[in-house]
Amino acid sequence: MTTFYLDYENGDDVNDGSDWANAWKTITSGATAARIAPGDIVRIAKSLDPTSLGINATWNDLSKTVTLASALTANIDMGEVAWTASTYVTSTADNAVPKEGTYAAKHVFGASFTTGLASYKALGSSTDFSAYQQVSFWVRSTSAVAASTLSLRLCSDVAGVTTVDTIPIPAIPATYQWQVVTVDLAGALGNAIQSVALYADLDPGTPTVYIDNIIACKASSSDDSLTLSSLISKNSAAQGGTEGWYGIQSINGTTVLLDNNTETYASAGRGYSGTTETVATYKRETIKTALLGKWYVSQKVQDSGTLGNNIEFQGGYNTADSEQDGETFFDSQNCGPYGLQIYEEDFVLTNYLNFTRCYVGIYVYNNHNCTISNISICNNDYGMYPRVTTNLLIGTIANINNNLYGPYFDNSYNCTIGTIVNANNNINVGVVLTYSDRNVLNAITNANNNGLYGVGFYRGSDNIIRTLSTTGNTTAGIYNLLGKNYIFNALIAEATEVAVDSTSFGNSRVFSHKHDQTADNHKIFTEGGLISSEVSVRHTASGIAWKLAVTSTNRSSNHPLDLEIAKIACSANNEVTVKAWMRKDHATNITGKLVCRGGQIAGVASDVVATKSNVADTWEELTIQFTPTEAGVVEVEVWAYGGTTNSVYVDDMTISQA
Amino acid sequence: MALPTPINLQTLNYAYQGQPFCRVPAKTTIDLETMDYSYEAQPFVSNLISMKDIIQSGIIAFPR
Repeated sequence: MTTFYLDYENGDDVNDGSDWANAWKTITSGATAARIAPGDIVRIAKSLDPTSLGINATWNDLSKTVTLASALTANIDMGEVAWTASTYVTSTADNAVPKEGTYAAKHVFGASFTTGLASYKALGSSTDFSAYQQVSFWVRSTSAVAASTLSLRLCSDVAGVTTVDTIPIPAIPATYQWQVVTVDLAGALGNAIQSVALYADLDPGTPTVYIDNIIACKASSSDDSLTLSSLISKNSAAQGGTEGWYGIQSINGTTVLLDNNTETYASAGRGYSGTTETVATYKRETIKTALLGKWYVSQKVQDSGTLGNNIEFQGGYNTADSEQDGETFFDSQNCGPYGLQIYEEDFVLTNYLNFTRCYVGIYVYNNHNCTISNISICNNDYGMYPRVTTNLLIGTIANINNNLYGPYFDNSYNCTIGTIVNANNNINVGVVLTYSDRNVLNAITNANNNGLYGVGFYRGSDNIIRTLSTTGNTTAGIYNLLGKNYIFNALIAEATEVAVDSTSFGNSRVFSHKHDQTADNHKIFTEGGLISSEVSVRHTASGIAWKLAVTSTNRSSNHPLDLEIAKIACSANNEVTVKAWMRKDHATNITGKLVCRGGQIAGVASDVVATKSNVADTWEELTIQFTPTEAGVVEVEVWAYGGTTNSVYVDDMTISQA
Repeated sequence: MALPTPINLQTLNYAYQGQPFCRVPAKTTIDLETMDYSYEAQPFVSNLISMKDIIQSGIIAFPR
């Protein structure tokens, strides 16, 4: 039971991790299996706490535009006009993949180009950038580029010749992927800059390099030093808070656009969901991890705990007093590696450990009995990806927003999720359960403004959501592809509350108990129909009846819209009589039946069926009778089929046995 | 909502997990508290366990 210390920015993996002064740097190479054991705790240094930008900003619900009261940065070049290329380089303004505006500056290096000035862009006038010390921009390459190969230069002449400031471009490990870069020059930028230039300091080979949204930013020591690498929010809390953090897609003067996953271009993005208001706005800086290409692994847990002796990785520690008063945000800078892998290691706990701009924030593979809590994850392809995982315990997901997908449970079973707040603004789905069964989600508060659905069940069954709210999802609040899943106390504001696969004929179901958080309001969403409790059309003017509304001709005598209405324990060799009052709202367009399917119990080999007569809007008591030759239980159903606009109702049963 | 009896379960006024809840004995002599009945290979008890306490308390009469 040893406590270790990990500080990514100031630690070293050769240390023994015994205190902050001797902290490890990484989970992978510091907290090795040889060094840690079940019951150990690894305290991880926090990233910087939020700072106020010192100005208000206007946030708009369902918009990715945040408007600052005043600009905090200065534009250098936005890539909207082609740069002037040197021989063997071709520069254009390219509209295929811009991060800001309509175009990005595209530079195609020919094989004959070696080193030197590759391309430049005159700024149009002499500009004083001396109030700024950092340069922030997006870069993208069609092939990997080593560090120190390329640089941007701020020049005092109009043709990129006379360098004033050199901004080295770091390694670009990922191909075809925008990478966010912020370089701190630790001193004032030039005060009479007339051009920006791209130089090759080493022969880059033949990459095509895109650059966009080059801006000058304030000194990193300034509270308002907003850059493209910052996260921005209404949230002032160092730890927790109900507002999510957002990666930045672009900054142009007072206009800040919010980003999504690692390949979201200027024309795309889900933005913000929440209160439209002009309020104090904050930024926080992340811990930039080593630059790695897509699908590499940034950090990986190396050992398992045991029952009752988790190995704990606790983020958010203040190295000054060892209080856990903040959070740790690790940042892959959009290159797309996995942020943290917990790969076939059991009984691992993490908290306040966040990952941004990764392929997967936290990847949990083939693990059992791990615990993850208090995470806030944004701008990954997959926020969190439990795969082939059982008994995962997730405490609180504070915010999991602006990813491609939020939490994505894949082939995972018996996981318990406490509360997910704000699974919002993800490009596709807020919360996904695919091929995953028997997971319990106690509360999803806000799965809003996702590009497809708030919650998606894909070929999983018996998943339970005890409380749910969704709004603003583009296609539907919930999607269900096969499987039977359960939700309780759901507030679903979308016009299409539950979309179901209409082609599988799988009779999938989403059972919604106390729908709209209303007593006696239940709905069963399935393909080709909707079954719901009914308080208007009832046989007895109290309680509820049940309505089977057929919406597709796929529902037929071979594939009726069916509702189990009773399970009946019967003794042997006595005739059972089941009566139910039924009604339909069209005489001939729809068929209603009371059915005891054959084969459930000895003596009842064939279906026993009574059919509602072809009279509309009239209650009729239907009767079926059968005599089992063994004691047992049978199920009785109501069927409806025919047309797309009519309904069958059922109420008040009488069940007896001679 | 008052607790149901097996008779008024037949009103279809009760729901569990968004579905009608009507799990009853066909004969009053069928004792589901014995756990002698099963459905789909699972014990079939319905809600009679909880009813047993109510019956024994004398609050309501249960048809047996």
